[in-house]
Amino acid sequence: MPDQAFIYGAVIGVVVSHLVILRVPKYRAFLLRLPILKSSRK
Amino acid sequence: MGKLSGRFASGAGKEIVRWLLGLILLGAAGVFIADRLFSTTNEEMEALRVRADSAIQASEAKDTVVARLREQRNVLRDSAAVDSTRLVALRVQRDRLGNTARTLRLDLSKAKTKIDTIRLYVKTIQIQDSVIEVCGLEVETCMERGAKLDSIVRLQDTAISVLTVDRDSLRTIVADFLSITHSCKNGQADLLLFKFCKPDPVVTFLAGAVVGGSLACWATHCLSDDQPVVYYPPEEY
Repeated sequence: MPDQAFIYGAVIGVVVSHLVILRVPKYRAFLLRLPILKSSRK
Repeated sequence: MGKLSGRFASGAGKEIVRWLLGLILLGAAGVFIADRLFSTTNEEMEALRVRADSAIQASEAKDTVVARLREQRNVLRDSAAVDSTRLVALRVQRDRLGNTARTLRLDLSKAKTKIDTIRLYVKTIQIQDSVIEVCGLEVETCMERGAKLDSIVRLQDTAISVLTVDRDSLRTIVADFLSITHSCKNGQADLLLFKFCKPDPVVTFLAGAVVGGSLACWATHCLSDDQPVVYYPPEEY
């Protein structure tokens, strides 16, 4: 079982990386087509 | 081929190559940090164990084993001085009747820092005539500062008594090793290796962030592959 700090870091890393990826047009287009983001965009 | 080179010559192709290089670098960094964090044994401990095994296999008499263990004491002392976060203590003890103690008690109330993980390696060395047997037992547990290990782990047939370990008393414990080894009159010694690991929470957090971020980037890149680029006009946001 990984350390608790490792899990927290992984979650934060995923969120931050997705925020960075959203700035790239190609990946932003893909991410914005995801259902969860599409619903929040409306 | 011409299509591929044309694709990479475009701006999107350069972006993909740039992302791939970044992913490779991030993944390599994450694997390196995770390996450093969660490796079960450090090099010194591994070298020590290998050295103990080779000493036992090569020796034909108890005195030879004791002589080899005496060399290991110096190795342990040096390694404990070098690496303060990964302390190594070694103690061999038997009671006067030659029976082994049934409980293990490790008092860390005097420890200066919290010790997250304790890895305990026990090797029982049986010497009967010219036959030498080595039995191994490996226990891994977690404990808080001040906890007593005998409430967590009970080992059978291991020769351990009350053992107080902190950084200051570590050298004393190591220094006791040789005299206790000499008290093993009936040709049996219990070799205990304690390894204390205290991973830095900040480094652990950063390692998790690197690994999680790398996985997210990699998954996004793979899932979005070969999908048309759609630019949303600003009024859609």
